[in-house]
Amino acid sequence: MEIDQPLELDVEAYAAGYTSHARTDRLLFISDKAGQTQLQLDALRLAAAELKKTENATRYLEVVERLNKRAPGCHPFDREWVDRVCQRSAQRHAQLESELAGYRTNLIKESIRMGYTDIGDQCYNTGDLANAFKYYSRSRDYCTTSKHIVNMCLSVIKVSIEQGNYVHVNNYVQKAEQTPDVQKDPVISGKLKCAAGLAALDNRKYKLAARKFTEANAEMGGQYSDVLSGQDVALYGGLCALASFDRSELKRCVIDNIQFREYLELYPAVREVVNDFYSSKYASCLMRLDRLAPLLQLDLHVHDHQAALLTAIRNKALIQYTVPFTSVDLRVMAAAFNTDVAGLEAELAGLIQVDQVAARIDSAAKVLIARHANQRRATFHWALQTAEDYLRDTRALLLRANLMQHDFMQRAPPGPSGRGGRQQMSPFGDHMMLRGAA
Amino acid sequence: MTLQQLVNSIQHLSGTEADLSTLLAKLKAQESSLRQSQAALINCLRALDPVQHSLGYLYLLDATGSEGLPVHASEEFIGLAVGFLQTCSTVQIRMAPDKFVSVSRKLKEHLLVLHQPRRAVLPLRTALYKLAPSSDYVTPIHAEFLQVCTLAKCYNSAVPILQADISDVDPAKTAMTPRDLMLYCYYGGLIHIGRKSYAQALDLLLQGLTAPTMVVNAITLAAYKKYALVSLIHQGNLPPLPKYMPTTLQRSLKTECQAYQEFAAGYGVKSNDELQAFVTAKQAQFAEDGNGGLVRLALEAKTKRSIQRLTQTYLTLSLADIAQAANLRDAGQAELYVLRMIDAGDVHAQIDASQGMVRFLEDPEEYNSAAVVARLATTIDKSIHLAQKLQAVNNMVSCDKAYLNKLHVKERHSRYEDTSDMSDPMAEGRLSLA
Repeated sequence: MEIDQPLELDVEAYAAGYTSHARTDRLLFISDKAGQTQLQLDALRLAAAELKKTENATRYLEVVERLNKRAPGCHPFDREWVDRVCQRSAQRHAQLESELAGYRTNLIKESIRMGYTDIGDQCYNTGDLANAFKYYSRSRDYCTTSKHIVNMCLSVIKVSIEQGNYVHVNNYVQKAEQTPDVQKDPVISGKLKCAAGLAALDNRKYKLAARKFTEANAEMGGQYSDVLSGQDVALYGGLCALASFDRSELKRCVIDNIQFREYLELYPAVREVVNDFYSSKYASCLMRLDRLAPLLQLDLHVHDHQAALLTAIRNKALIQYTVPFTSVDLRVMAAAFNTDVAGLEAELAGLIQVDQVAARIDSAAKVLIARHANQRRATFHWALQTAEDYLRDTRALLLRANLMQHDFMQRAPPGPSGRGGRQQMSPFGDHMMLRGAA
Repeated sequence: MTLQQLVNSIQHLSGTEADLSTLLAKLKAQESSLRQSQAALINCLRALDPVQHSLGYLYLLDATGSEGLPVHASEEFIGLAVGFLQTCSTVQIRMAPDKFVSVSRKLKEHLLVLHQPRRAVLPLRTALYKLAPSSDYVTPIHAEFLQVCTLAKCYNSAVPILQADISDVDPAKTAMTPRDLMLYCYYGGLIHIGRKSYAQALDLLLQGLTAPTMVVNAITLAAYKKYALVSLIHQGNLPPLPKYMPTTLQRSLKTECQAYQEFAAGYGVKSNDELQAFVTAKQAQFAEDGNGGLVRLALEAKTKRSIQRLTQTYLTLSLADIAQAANLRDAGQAELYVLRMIDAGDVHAQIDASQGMVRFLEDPEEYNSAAVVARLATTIDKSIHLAQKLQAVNNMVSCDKAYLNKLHVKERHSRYEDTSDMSDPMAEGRLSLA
């Protein structure tokens, strides 16, 4: 088994998987997380070079500033380019605005839609996400064909994902999926599935996310690279599936899923993890996951969920391991999980206490023994308990109703003292001497 | 009317019901003059027979009762009252329940001055049986009786009284007041706590807490404090109080019982040491409320509960591990705890002392004995009985004129406007029944 060093991240190859904003966003995210390493420097340098190809001058300024702080002089600041870009985009914006105004007076629906979309694109390119969202969603009223609607939705989804506004993502995915013909286009439906998957992931609904990612069509491939790459689909889908699917679901939706398998082929590390898990090689599966962990830490979407997902997968593995047996030798199990007996015992105890594992630990012999719920006993217990609750509640109810009937209400005595809280302590009277009697 | 004349009319008018009503009117008229001639009354009492002339005897006895209180006790009064409570005629004393309650209360006060509450237990028990028309009723003597039982630590003699399901307060028949009901619930709760039947204690205290009230009084606050601690001991948490709690009380609990609410909030989450530190900081307050013992029990219950959780997880576990998991000092202390819990039936386990291991067993109750069948049968009987009672009350309410009027008015209102007027507690209580 070739278990070697933690996986190294090749920034250039990684960045090549993405286009447009996704590339710079991810590079900058890596530079945020990487600390003072060569990796950070590489990421920043690539991001600067990438940004110079776009019209996003503001972002470029930020990156160059950071780059110069980190390693002065390695990237010359191109003042001339910035000025030129700013001027050009301002001109273009003004031109588009005036064109749009023209279309609006002439009331040509299709032209208005295109005008809004063009301004949206322009804002998006210059990095003004809020305005891009505004213009894209305005074009909605002027959409005439389902193709227009889907395009509008995809644009809005893209912007919303970048803004991290997943409520909008969900809304527009639903809208797009309701338009006719969308299911027939594998690329578009794949994109929508991935977007929905990202939204579910952000919402910590891992099962839903897993389902969405594994449903993504193979034909989409890398065509959604301005949001995520094919590797990402494999990574997110694989992890979420391991964390939330049971064995039969895993087999049906992941292992036997030809479409998803193509994504897994793009990311061999994840493929191996999934296969190991399914063939119950938990030690190597968990070890591979540990090696993946630093990479997950650098991922834009999954970094927040890394700990939760890995714990869930580990617990799932522990649970699955115990299910088929009536008794398990903890020493063997510890070896299978590459851990020590004491640690395993504590982990299992935790799982038993939250009712995930139906078993009890024989701590003297270091054996885990399955426990079968006694339905009959539970039913008797439950019936008696319910009867007692009923009797008690009904009695209390009858007495309360009787109190109401006799208007049995303690009222403040009339007088200047009014309805204060503390002044009404006197009713205890001689009974106060009882304090401490119990 | 002189005393002698009064005694004469008592002697003559203690026969038929009509005579007794006349007598009652006369006695009521003479009440204030009776109180002024206390000394002579004792002699008059000798001329009367407590069984035949119970009503008159009652009034005279009550008038003599307050003598000397609250400093001196009168053995003479105690003797007369004890004899009277044991022998008096049930029919006659039910004509003047307030006086009867007053005599019982005075007897208790005299004995409390002497610090001999135990002597009051039996007479008061007889008295409350005489006053209550049936075991459904609760009387003010219930509260007095439970108080002396608590003071005399005769918890067991109170059990039959507490086991009767009370469902009726009728001030006309028993001279009951809201305060008496709260005291009944409070002292009943104390007795249940003393007998360690925490579930019943919780029910009774909650009954007291939810009794309708416009003002906050010391009884309810004290009851709430006990309630909070007992729920921690019994269930490990403090459940939110029901919605039908009086709102005035809800508001003041936060300010008046802050230490208890903080203790309850921290009980489930804080570690033993943190809780102990909290308790030490608030020690004075808990002690002043007389709840130091309950707080200590609550802390112990936390340890017990963590040991009980272990039984769900482990089949065998060494004492040292138990001590560590339950945050105890050492294996010896853990052994002591487990031993005590096995005795109390809280856990089912065996201790292997030679190896220092504990083997946890499953609950041996298989629900296949005759006792279980009998228990099921009685529970079903009780449920049916109670359901019938509920149905009867329901029928009574649906025929109630005031209720129907109210309903009619509301229906007419709601035809024009949607806001329903639920301010009347009468209607609300009845609606919840229906």
